[in-house]
Amino acid sequence: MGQTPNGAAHSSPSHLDTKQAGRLFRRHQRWLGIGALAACVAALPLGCKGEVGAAGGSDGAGSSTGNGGSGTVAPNAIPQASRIPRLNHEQYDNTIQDLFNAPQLTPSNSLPPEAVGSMDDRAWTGYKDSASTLAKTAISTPAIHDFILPCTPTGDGAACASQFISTFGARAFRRPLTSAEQTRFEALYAKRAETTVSGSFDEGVEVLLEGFLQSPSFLSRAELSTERVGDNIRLNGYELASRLSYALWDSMPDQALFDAAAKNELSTEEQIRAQALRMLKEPRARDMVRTFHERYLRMEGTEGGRWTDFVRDEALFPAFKPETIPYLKEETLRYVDYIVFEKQAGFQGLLTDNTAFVNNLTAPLYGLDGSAYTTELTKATLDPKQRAGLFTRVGFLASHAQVVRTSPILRGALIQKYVLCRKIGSPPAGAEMTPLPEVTDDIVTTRQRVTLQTSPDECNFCHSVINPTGFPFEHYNAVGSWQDMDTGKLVDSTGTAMFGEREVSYEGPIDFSKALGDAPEAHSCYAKNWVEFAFGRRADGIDLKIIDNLAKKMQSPDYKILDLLVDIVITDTFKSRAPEAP
Amino acid sequence: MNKKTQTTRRNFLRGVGGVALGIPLLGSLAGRVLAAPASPIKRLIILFTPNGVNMDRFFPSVDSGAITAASLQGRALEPMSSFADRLLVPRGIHMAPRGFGWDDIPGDDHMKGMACKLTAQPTTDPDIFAAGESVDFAAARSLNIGGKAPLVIQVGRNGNNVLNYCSYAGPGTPYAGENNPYNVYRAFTGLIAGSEGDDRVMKRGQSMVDLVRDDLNELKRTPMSSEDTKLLDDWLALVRDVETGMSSACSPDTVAALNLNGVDRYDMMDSNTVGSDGEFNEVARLMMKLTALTMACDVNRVATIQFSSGASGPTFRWDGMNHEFNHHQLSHRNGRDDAEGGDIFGIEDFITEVDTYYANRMNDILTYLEMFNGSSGSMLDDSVVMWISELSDGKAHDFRNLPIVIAGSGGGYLRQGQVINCSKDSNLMNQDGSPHNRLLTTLLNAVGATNDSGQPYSGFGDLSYGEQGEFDQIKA
Repeated sequence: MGQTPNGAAHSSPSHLDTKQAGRLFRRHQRWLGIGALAACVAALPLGCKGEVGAAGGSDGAGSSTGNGGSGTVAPNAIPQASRIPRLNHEQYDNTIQDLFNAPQLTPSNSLPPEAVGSMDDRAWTGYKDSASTLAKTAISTPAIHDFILPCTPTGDGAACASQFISTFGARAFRRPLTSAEQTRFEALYAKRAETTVSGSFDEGVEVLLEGFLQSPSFLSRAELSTERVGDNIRLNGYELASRLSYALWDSMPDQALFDAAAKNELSTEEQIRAQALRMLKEPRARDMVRTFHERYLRMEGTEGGRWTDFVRDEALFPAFKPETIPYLKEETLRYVDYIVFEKQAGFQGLLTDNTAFVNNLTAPLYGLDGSAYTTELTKATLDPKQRAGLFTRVGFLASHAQVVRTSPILRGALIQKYVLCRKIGSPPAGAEMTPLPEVTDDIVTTRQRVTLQTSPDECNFCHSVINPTGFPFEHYNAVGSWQDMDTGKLVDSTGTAMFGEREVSYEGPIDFSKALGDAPEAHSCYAKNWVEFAFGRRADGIDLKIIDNLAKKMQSPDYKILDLLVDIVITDTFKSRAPEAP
Repeated sequence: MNKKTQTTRRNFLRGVGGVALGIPLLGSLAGRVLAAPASPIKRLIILFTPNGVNMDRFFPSVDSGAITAASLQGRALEPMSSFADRLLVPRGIHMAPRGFGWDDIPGDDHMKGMACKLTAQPTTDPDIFAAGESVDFAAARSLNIGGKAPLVIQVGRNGNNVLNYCSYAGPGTPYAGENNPYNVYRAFTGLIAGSEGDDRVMKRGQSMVDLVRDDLNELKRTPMSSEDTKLLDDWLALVRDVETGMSSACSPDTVAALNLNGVDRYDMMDSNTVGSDGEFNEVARLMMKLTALTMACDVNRVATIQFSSGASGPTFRWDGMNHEFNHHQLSHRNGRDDAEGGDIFGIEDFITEVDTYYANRMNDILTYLEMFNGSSGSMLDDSVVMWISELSDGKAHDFRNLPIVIAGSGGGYLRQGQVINCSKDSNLMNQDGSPHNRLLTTLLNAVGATNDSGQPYSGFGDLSYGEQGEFDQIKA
């Protein structure tokens, strides 16, 4: 089901109808008297040159819930963000799993896709239905039933129900219930004869669960404290426990965090650092790092289909099977996990290491013997002359290509937009109709054809920035395998790319990856993505200073990605929020 | 299966006793038992299909004039022959904003086809979402009690990019269709008058409503930014009291007559499985029935059923079809998602099979609406059902001469049984002078929807791309 399959210049399906579209377009040109360059006409898109760096933007990996970030925040101020951010789907699933100690549950499967802004009818119906389904599941699954119930009911069960309400409620709301809430839920239990078939204790608990799981205090992470410290509001211990757990685990706090919150042991930098170091050793942290990189690399979200919904010409690329596709994401994320947690390296390591995780399907694409592997991803060392780091893995390369050829545009655009945080607008109207020129005596390779295709000024305005961060990967064909020749001519993977305002020359993919790994612009962009992920808002104001500090530290190859995570959560900003605007 | 042997006063359905659903139950109005409503309740149902159609065999064989069974013969619309005299096929309408890059808006022609078709609004960066609400949301705000959102359904897999949405709740706010039939059905559980346990279910539902309201109101007592206050208010607006006065048409007999067997299978099924090709046909059929039930029970007066998504589509392997390529690949006529390679000989016939399949689904909903009484004729006669495609010719991604089929007159507002050329000078392929926003305006007025000032619509969508006014040619 190709949703954004394989487009040419801008990766959309209609880009592919180049011959037909070109014909049509030329016909209309005559009808309408449009000039020869009309294919790339119209207003020049903003933001291809300049506007680089950490400020504003909607491209952050952490911004999927759409919090805040106006771009007008004073330099030292904390940006406004919602005090009631809703759990995103990943957080919802993780929180339910932890609440029920049931990792098999992924209830967001039945919710509509994540969206920004107000709850809508469909989403609300989804949350209610999910609450009802989960409540039933919890009561009918002995392991969950026993895990969540702190007592055995006697008599009418009211005493045990009350105990359940206060213990489960404090975990579901991630803070102790108020007495009004306790009373409200006790009343709900007391009414069970009218609202359930049998009126049994278990059915009463089922109603309570249904209530907890559709409560706004469960579905949102409300930050209600009002303690003013300087210009800002200091979060209370429970709110900070939640911030820590959702930043480092993408899930609810565990008992140790709740205990620390209760004992007011989440206030000093050392206390928070100790918690962070403990938390980063838990499996949940590895899931979180995975989730982060799914977003950083656009495996999730509106462009996510690129990694999964495509075809490659089977006749041209017999080594590539449709069954290989799911492993493209997996090998990439397994590599990231290795770099972050096993090798404990930094950003440079991520961009340059020649370790890979291959299986019987991906090994041939790397020029390895597939029969030496099973379907399981297994650690392998790649030829350092051909492979260095994240963007030389078949995952990125095969997914960012076309049916029969490479795509310097898709590859280059991802690097510019998401690795270097350069704002690039949509292509101008009509750009999609620009056909890829046919092969001629002079114009042979994909690089040459794409260069010619995007050569009109209106195209070149952006493509002079996009294409050169894609050209270094011309040595990898449409399925990510090394190639020395393209359509019978030697591949040229040298060039000069724009990193921010800097021109950076490179001699090929290995050289380029090294330069990208060392680039302050890439460090700042990566740090920005992490800050937005951890803070759950668009970076702005004081966040930009934090990002600058992190980026400076990242210059040292010894600075681990794990260090960066700790450094984010121990900032004062992490403990605070902006007072709400009047 | 649904053995109904007794006809109660509430059993307004014709021929329920022993008659299998799916067989057209038609004939005279005398068969309808339900008392006619005092004033007509008008309803709007939109069927939206992606990837265009086989233009050569879609429309009635006459370019203007009466639609007859003969003019539908051999065409994709043939399954609706029994409704020929109540179909309206406006020809020569083009999308506004236009495709082919002729209007300066972002996105490719699939994205524009999805985002602009029901909104008549331009797309916007960065997500290429439409800049305003869609016609179903505008209609629902006016027609539904409390202005609640329309029923939006997506048959197939949900996704979250522009290609997955045709409905918009507001600017840049796409609205995902429900893809699980059970979740649509669930709205009726316990609410159907006289069904088992309805009192208990209502009480439980109301307990939840009270609980959530208390929680939201408590949050509202904390000082919040205006954005957060809006979030809470919008949420509160969705927390509605459990409805007790369900329409008398909403009886267990209605459910039985529509034959919802199999809907239970989707309870708790995960969204990706529900959206898979293997479920597409079953889900499509159930959704038609559930839309009819929604209308009969007056749970919603506006519905959009979107099949699949733009530049996508299932591979049709049922009802005698055994296609090699999915709908998008067929629409390119080369069997691929891209443009490489030539057309496959005879592939148009497979596109027509898909078009015919969708015509059958439209026939389903017409048949069901026909089962219920309206103010004078049937519920169908009071309503407007429109089928519109994302594109006209799929290979060209063309936005002109859109395939549009309307049934039901909105209580006499629209002409019936006619193909009508709406282009400015009878050239069906015109790219100006007959913008589709005027059709959306006409539909809103046909179902009696009014704007926020309580007035009939004088225009809908972004009028800097479209035009003021209706298509008078199609009005009765």
